[in-house]
Amino acid sequence: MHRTIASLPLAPSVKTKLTSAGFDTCADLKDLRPLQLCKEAGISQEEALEVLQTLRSDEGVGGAAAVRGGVTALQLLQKEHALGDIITFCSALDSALGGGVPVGKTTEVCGAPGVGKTQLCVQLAVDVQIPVCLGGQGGQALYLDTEGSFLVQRAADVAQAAVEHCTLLAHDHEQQAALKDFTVENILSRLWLVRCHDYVELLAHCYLLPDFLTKHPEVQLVVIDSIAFPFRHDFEDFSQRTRLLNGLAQQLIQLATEHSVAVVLTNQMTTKVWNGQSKLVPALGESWGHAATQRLILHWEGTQRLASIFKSPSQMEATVPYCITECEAMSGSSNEEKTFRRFLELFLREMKPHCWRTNRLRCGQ
Amino acid sequence: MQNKKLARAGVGSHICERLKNHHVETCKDLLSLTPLEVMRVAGQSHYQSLQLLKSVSLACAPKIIPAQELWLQREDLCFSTSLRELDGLLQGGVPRGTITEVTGPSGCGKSQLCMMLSVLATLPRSMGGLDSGVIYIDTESAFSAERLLEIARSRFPDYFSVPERLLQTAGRVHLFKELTCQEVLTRLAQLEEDIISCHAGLVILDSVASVVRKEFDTSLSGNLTHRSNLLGREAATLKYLAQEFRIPVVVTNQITTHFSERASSSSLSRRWNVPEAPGAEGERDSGYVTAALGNTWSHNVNTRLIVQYVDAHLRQIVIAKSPVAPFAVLNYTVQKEGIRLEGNASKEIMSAQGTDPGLHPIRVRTGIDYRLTGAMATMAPYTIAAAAAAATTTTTTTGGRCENTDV
Amino acid sequence: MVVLREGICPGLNQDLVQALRNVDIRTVEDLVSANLEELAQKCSVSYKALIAVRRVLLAQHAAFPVSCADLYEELLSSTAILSTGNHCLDKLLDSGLYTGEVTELIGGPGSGKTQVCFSTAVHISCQLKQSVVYIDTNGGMSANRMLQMLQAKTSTMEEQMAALQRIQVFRVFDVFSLLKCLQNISAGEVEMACVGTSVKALILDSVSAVLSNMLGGKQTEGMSLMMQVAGELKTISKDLSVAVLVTNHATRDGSGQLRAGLGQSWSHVPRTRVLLHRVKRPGASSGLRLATLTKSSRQSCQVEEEFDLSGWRGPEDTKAGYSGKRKLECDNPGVG
Repeated sequence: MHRTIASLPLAPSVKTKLTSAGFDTCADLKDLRPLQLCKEAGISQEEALEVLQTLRSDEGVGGAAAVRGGVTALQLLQKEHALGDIITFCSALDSALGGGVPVGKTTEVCGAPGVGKTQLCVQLAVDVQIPVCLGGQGGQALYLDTEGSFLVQRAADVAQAAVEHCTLLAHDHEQQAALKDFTVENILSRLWLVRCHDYVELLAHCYLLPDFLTKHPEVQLVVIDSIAFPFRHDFEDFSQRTRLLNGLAQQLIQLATEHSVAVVLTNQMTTKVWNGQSKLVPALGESWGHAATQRLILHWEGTQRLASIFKSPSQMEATVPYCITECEAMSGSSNEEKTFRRFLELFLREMKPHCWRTNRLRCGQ
Repeated sequence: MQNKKLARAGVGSHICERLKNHHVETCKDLLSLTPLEVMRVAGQSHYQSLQLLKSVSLACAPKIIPAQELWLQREDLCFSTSLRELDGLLQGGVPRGTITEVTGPSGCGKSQLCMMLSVLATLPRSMGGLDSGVIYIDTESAFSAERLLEIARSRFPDYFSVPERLLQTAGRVHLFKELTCQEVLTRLAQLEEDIISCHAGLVILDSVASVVRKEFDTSLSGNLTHRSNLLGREAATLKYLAQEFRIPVVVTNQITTHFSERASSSSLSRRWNVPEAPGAEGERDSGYVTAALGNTWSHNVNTRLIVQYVDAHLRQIVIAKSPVAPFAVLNYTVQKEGIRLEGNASKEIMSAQGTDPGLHPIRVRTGIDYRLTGAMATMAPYTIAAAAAAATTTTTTTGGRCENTDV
Repeated sequence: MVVLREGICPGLNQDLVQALRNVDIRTVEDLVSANLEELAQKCSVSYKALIAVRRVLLAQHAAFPVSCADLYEELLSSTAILSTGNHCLDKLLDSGLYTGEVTELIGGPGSGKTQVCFSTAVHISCQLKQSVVYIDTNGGMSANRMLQMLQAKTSTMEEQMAALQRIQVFRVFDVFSLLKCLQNISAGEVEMACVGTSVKALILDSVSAVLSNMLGGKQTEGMSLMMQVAGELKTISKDLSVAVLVTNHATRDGSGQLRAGLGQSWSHVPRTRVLLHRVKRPGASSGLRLATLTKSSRQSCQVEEEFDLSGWRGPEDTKAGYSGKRKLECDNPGVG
């Protein structure tokens, strides 16, 4: 009980009054009654009650947190395997990511305009819904759109392609039964969408996300497309922007961990002049580079699109090519009118179940 | 919604008073603070501050809807360009609620396209129009009412045989001539009112580039930040209006010369599968023409269409960035009735692989007449040496301003 | 700053406390520094009683002088040096992490801070068979990666599992939970409950993730919380003789120089500081990192060592074929 008053989550003005009244550690406050404290420290009765309640709940919660937060790495390993990954349907990218976009972590996707960030996000929002028996997550997705790039036509295309692809894979009875529910309409009704017009609305949603996720525990993916657009104008005070962004990053990491969701953020690229040479670097400044747990950079090399894992706690750095292909590549030539659909290499030949999902059925040929 | 007063967001009067002393009055003010700052200004504990932030968030957060709801209204998601192949690629036309950019060299038909879209928007719904007004913000003085009516008459001779209809169309296109950045900003600020009073179903900004490029000298580094800030604000306003009114917004952009390093220029010619011209190797400053306003602006547009020259007569429209369409090239000519697509065999127009829309080379009209032979004319662009030559000549012949690589 | 209250020492009764309070003597500090004669007159209590109270209070609250020889003795008996499992880093750190000290790793995004933390945790738990507390504040904790590292060290499943069990993970995301967690650890509640053996190392990855959003602006509150965290870390390292390893961000300032996050006042907290950055050299492997000693009390600074992160990878992964993959430079993603 040598905890100092200064470290308590109390209003600074209350803390100042307590310390100037000579209270230094929690032990000093321990046996006081609210009225007594109110007189001694010169704070209002409500504030005195608040202080004592905080102190008490802090002890209570503190004990609970030690049990809740303190897990051994072994328990964590089991949990990580239970959570799984969301496949991107691009086999090279999946294997570089160690099976897909990890649930329970934050992943940032940076890329030049038009390189396919939104495509990847839409693809993930559909893929997270693939039934468990087909090697998916069977979850739902929440899509926070700040750029207005989410077009429902596109989502429907991707959903349609995913349905067709899964139909080809379904072999046994259980899988076919699961597919009955896996229709374009259902996929779209499980894709929650919200359009945020500025950073205030985005921040507001981030404060509300814990409640939303508690109410909708099926949601396993939160996409913010993009984090950069609302934060790249409207700010005169850059240190305020940095503070807000850092706070937001912590909130999202907390969300990912506590609600077991994958958080995917997209970020834009900006030109930085370095010793007379200009280079494309992810936007929002260098300190933002620490924010997400994983960072994926999509870029062009000529006409080839490349995805590079730039930062990841669990995966090697790697660069893999990917492409946004047409629907007909996988669904066969029967759909001539769908010629112009494209999506992330849905033509997955060797869809191996992730090694930890041995109980799930093998879906490849 | 961010300007909602805190008292209306369900914050107690006692705390409102306290916050007011710290000049925190609206939801925006409060949410721009970190929880720790809220603890200080509101005099609340950490837990209470989080509760306060949450209740304020609840008051100003937009609603979460399932995508299914939008899907049910899918018939109404696009504005048809009346160009069949283009509509097909874009899955119905110019998407509503987003920004579509048309970029290209001057005289290539950007304004023609805008005027044609204006005519279309005024048409009754039975003819594929929007039956609505159009807000046309003209910063280059390129709008011509005569041309507008000519397009209308030649494109729909039957419908516009009645002179009243022609007058009605002309009356529904509301033109705003704004020649400085400040004027454009002011116009955008009150666009919300204008859209309501004009019953506008389409907003056109022609062009977004001219005023900012006139007023910002990009050689000064501070200006560049200022400019991208300004463009970001314009984009945010336009996106907000597009989304809220569910209308398409079309903006036009100019071109710039992009000076690339040697490495990327050689990769460029590799990309096109053209044997590298002997001259290209030695050329250090080889540049090519690409969309203006830089990388940040490229992020701001949802769809980018590039118009470019093939030869004196034939032009191409390139879908360089789109959330729905693949990279594709369509040939067209500018006719009396506006844009007419020509000679697009369905297989040839699409190439699966695009390139960075911010750096996509744009072909421009040159002093010399480029005779592209037969099959090459539709698809294969020319070597980098030619591109470089074209680039250097363009800056003089088209009178377009030349600027360096920008943010 | 201990408040005078009835019962904290014999002779200090309710009346005396009240009398002293009336003349604005509230804390022990006030009392011992006051002129007792005047005080006795002012509150009309006996001078003797005050002297007696003061003597007891001084005995209770004064620091106890220790001779250097004793300290040295204690140091030898209690200090342990924990190897990080990485030969090059050990060299920089003068053979490893010292208990009773705070060591800091700084570096930009993707510079391998978390990897060093993982490998240190794994080495201490597997090779030295000691318990480790791992506090994760940025979501970077990956038990899977730890398992991969363990698989490279030992092949028996039991040993791997036992090693993982000795690593206690806390995931906290804001400064108040972090403080609470640290206080629980220093109160000794944690290791008793879960692990059994005593904790020898505490790894905090990363300290700047929770602190950086509170600094700056028009407030001093964030700074005070930062110093609270620093104080807790020091208390834990000293009182429990634990080696503390923290990570911190590094950002480039205007001139392109790498600077540690959290500013000047934090830079006094760690005893030893190591800067990690990528080696950008044609042909270098993507895992190659350069570690520079930027603050140390034992070695000369600016000593540099190179090591390869990929060396910690399990054998089955090197097989998986990451060879030939292109490396992406930090500030040149190769666009254009």
